[in-house]
Amino acid sequence: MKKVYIYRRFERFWHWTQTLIILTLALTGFEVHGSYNLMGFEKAVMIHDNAAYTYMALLLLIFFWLFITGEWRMYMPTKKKIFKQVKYYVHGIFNDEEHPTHKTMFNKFNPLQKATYFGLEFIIIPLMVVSGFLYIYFADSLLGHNGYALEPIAFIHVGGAFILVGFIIAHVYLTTTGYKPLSAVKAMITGWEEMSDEEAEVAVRANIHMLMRFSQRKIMNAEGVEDDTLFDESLSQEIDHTKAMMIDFQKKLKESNVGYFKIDINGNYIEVNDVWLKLYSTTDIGNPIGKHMGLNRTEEDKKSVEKIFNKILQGKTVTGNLVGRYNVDGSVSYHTISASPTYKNNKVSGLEGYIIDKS
Amino acid sequence: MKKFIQILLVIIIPEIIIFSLIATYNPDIVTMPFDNSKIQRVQKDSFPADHSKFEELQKDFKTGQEVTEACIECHTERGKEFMKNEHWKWVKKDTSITGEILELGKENVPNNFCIGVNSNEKLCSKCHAGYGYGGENFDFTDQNNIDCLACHDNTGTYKKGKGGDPAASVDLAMVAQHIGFPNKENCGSCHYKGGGGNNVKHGDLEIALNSCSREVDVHMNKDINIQCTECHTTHNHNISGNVYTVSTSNKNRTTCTQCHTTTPHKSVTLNNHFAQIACQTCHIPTYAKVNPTKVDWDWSTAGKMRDGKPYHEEREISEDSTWEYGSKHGTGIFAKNLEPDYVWFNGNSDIHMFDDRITESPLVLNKLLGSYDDNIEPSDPEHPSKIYPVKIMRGKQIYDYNYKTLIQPHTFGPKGSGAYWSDFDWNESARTGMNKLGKPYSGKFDFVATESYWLLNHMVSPKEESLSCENCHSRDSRLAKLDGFYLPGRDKNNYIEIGGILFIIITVLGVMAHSALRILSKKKHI
Repeated sequence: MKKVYIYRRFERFWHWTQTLIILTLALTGFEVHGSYNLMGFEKAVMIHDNAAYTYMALLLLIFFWLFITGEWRMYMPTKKKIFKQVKYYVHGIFNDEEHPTHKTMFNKFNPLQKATYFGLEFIIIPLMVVSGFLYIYFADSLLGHNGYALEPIAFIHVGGAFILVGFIIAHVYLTTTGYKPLSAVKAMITGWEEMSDEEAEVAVRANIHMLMRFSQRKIMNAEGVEDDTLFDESLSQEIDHTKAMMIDFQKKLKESNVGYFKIDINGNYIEVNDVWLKLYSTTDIGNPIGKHMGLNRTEEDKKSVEKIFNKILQGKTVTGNLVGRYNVDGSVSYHTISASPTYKNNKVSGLEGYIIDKS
Repeated sequence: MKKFIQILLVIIIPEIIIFSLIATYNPDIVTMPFDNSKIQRVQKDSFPADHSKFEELQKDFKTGQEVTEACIECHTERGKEFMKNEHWKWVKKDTSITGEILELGKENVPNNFCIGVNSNEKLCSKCHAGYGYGGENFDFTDQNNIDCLACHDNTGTYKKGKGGDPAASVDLAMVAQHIGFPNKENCGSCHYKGGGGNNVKHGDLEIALNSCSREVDVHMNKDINIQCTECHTTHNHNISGNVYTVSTSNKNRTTCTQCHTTTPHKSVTLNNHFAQIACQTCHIPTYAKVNPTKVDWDWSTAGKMRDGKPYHEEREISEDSTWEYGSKHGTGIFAKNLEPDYVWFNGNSDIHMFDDRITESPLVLNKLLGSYDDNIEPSDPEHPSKIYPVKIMRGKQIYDYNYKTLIQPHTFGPKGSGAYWSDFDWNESARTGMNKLGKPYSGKFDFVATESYWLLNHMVSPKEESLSCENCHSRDSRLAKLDGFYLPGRDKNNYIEIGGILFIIITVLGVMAHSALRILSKKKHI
């Protein structure tokens, strides 16, 4: 399990403020509607009006944020994967299948959420705000008072309120369908969402992809023609820089007398460094590339190495396990091994690790 | 710790601040509220003359007319003024909604209490501001017939007897020497007793108002002690105020705004209600707060005898209401602490007269005109109709079966005169009554259900006891019977309501089913 930062501070602020205001509006609104008597009509009207005006101020902030950050795009309904998502909720969720879509900072919603939240934030809530404004105008204003107009406005407002109550119930329930039942709620409070390692990787990749797209966007030359050369150059420099860092890392490894190795999914060596070769030079292993890792070990050690290998292939990391190697002169030397899995296309493709001599 | 502080700053603290603001801020405040303490009551000078020193009044007056003659010697023009007043003529000119000019009053309009004056003047004239109205030939042009003392007696000893003359016990010289401005007792001596007894007719006008607590009436209670004429302002014996059982047009009305302005509340919302809600609607939550008023009068059951004699009996229906039967009057119901009924009213009414044909049952004797639609046109500066509280008087009274008109029965008179209360013969009573009224009677009578509407203006409660929002803005609204407009809190659309609740139920069921399946499938996989 990993935790990924999904919700920024303002988003968490507006979500919970909106929650507070909508619950207040519902509670007082249905009292004004006459459904029950809780705090008295006068108080209910006062709080309802206050909450309504506060909500309008908040909505201005929200829409400003969505517009400025471009995050309004994630509300735009899409047909892509929508049936997969429906299938997941009516079938997959009961069979422990994986979510068909992934949550990232820049794309928080699955296709069903997109449709729902689009309807909510861009249809129902504006409808409620407009009908609420007209309601206040026709009920309170001496000039505008008109009971014939008030009736349809009130009916629209009440109808919208019923839809919102239904939404809140479904919304609260669906928060429990995350990685763990409380993952989504915790994320909305702290910003950090719990998810599986695979989902986390997707999220991180999506973040990198998004940031790259962001960097790539809108570069033009003096003639006003779009020109990606600067981006390409910068990107290759970054890649070179990363490569240089890796080379530097290997160099440092060598200097530190730490042996490095990489093994494929079948248990055969793919790569070893000089320190590794030096440590094993007292054995008759020769060039290890392509050879099986069980080579030249006692039966007992073979078992121990297999065990470590299987453990890592299951996605776990081992640190500091003691492993022996047979020297030509018949003596045994020991080293510690730390290793973790390597991935290719989201699947474990082998492992890599480091050894430190103990003899 | 750092995480916690962040959550505190981003979520918890803002929500607490926002919620406390939403829950406590009250924007509904008038910046310059009307100050009730600034209402100026008319400060009357001390009475300009001590009438006990007047030589003209040092006489041994034998009759009321002699007193009036003495009054007019000095107050030479007042008699002419008063002879235009409806307290004298018992009719006044008014215009109907169609523009027709009518003469209306006790004299010629039927009601559903004692029904009418004609042929019963001997009794009714106890409340006529004149001497001798109960006699055969009353002269409306003789100023000396005016009863000045009924209204101007300040001793509290003046009483009228049958026929309208002073009661024998009254010391006319003493009363004449101690006259003054009319007070509550003067007005109340008649207006409290309409319908034949205290509070029978109006429900909000009764003898308790002479000395009551603030809870009964904020204006007329013993501490504030506002007199009738402070609101019912009077110039040259022309008294403001109407009763819409004998008035048809929106003029010469007495209003709360004479003192209280049109924006008397500290709340803007409440002040906005002024456009459509009469002050009385919220500020008179109940009426007949001290003594009961008659709400039902069924004449059709009158005339039963016990051992050959008329009788009277009473039964309590509930704590606040009594059933009553009398051979003379029929069945009646008295009640107190009543919640008013509410109507739209624009100051005009349609009055059913003796000549008008009966076309409905119950027959409404005075239709109070008005509806929500009167307010709907914003360009109309008057916004005339408002919701008013009323007492609805219900009853059954005699009508001419063939002519389909109401009958004026002769009720009060000696045996053999055809008076119902002596002879108990409806046919004879109808015949003599209609004869006196000068209208035809076919000889066949029956009883018809009638209603009359009495606007409630008095017994204004203290502001703490006035109606609160949910008395009207709730499902069991006091305004339940008024339609044609949307009232928040009262009205709903059943389709939206059922649809909305179904939507929520389906959502909840869906959530429950889905979560149950998830829990079951999880167990299976483990």
